[in-house]
Amino acid sequence: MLTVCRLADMNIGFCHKAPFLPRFYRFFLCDAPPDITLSATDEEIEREALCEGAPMGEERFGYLEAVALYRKLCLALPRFGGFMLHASFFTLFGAGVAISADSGVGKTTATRNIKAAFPADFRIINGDKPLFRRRGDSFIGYGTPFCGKERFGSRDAARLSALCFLERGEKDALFPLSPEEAFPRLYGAAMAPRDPALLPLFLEEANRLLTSVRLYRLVATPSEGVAAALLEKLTEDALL
Amino acid sequence: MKIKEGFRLHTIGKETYAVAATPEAAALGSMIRLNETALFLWRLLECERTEEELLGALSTEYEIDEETARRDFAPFLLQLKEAGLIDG
Repeated sequence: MLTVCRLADMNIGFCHKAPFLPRFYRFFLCDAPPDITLSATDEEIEREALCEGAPMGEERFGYLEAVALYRKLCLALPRFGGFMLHASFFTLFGAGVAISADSGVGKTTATRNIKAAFPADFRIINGDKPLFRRRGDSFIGYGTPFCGKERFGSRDAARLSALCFLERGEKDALFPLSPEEAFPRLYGAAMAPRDPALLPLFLEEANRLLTSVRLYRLVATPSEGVAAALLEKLTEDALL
Repeated sequence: MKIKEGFRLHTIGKETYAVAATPEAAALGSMIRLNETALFLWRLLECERTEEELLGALSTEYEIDEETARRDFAPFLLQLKEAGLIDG
């Protein structure tokens, strides 16, 4: 089966076996011819089962196939000027803000607290695995169905203005980071291809992103104080 | 001796990293930050070199005697060997 989805301003053709994928991507389906077509082997799908530490099973197959295909898309994205970043991406008063962190650091809690503090001025794009692509001089972050267990997601897109690397702390505060300081953090949070042909493209886009947006180390408590700290710093830096 | 294949040097601002470009290289370390001397040695080790050749190159580059060069670069070389990053 071939299902075409509109993701990151591209028509992506997914060749798949299970009927799960069109349901999963139901808000992203499109009728246009694909710009690229991806398929996953049984071996690649089995590898996802191993990564998740869960047995394959018939009902899991469709989901794992979708995961394998998304991984292939993420790894191919540097060819199209982009990459996937493990982050929560949203707009706050219209400015695109990404909060990146390893699983368990508190990305979801921080996102939830910011939303709770500014419900009318907060718009979620993707809570877990947004795609970022360079469009002109800017990077645009895009929603996808892979948006985390909490389902913080949408079909929306926004220009990335600020990228924050989250750490747990005693007091909510943002500290500016240089591109040099941010690079290892970005590299750790992005899906970088282990491919000699694609890695240089990824690294080039990583450098471009790091020199085109504001970068911060976000130290956060698990409270709504994170929202005030974020707002104050983004206002001070004229991003809002 | 020679640095293992599969890494790509990447510079951002004043920092340079050796970044794994293959799954085999990633198994050894996905990213290694290199200071100025480490970068100089890494570049030399992209071709097959003897220890004497490395010491000679370091002595010339940094205008130091070979004994000082040996003392200064031995820890880095050991680090590379222990991490499995060197062939030979």
